[in-house]
Amino acid sequence: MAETISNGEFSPWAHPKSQAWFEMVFERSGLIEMLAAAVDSPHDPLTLPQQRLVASLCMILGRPGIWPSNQNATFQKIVIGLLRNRRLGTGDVSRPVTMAEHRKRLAFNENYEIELESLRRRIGLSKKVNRLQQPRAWERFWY
Amino acid sequence: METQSLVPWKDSTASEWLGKQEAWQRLLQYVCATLESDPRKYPNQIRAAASLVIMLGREGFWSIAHGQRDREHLASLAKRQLAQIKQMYSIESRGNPTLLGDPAYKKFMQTLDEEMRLLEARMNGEEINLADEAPSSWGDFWNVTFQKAQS
Repeated sequence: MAETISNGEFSPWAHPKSQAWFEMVFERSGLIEMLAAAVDSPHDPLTLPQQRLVASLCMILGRPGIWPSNQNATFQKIVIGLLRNRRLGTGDVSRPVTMAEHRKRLAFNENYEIELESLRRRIGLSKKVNRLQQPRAWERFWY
Repeated sequence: METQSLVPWKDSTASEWLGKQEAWQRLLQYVCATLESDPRKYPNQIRAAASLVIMLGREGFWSIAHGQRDREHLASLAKRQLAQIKQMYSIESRGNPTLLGDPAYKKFMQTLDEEMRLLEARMNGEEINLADEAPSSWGDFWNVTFQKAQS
């Protein structure tokens, strides 16, 4: 017990045994490799909603203590892949859209950009310093 | 363009894609298996697994056989295990007045309470009147940088 709380950190990923557990789970599941391959696949590119889901997973799991420290380079690779795909427009379907679809697409883009900015900061690609809040689109995340 | 929900994991095509990934299924299996383990032997691991239930135990991320019913079962299991861990530490502190008076100990116990409350809210599946915030000990959840942590 004393060992658990002695370092002044209380999050569930603060303890070395918790971190070892996360590392084991990521390694044995192969999740990180799967995400990296999915983002980088030229033959079977992810759709925009799939990319955004990967981005949200990176926002939740991509933090020191949860994401294994020996996989930080892969985290960076995944984020850069998402940013590149966004720039290239991978997953976009070119066809006429209705006004409702257009509005939805605008809202999607606006929210995805907020999420990508969060990821840019994690890997030091953004110079913005304002404090980030929970993405509005994520509604009531904790409950 | 496909129909898109504004909540990333509520997009059905994206959620189905994730649910079909073997790596994702394996990760969820590890979480479930850890939650079944002995809290006296693996308190930190169980708490880590419970944190994933809190963060990911929602429709769209956690595709399991019987949907909401199974997710509630999982949240219930995680909460029971956290309660066991809390009880274990409470018993330990009874013979240790120094620990009992330690602010860090109190903070730790408060954190367990907050995590259990989140899981309970998930089980009820109802809107409850609580601030939509991460447990107080989880740090600044939305502002993370790897570089700072590595230095």
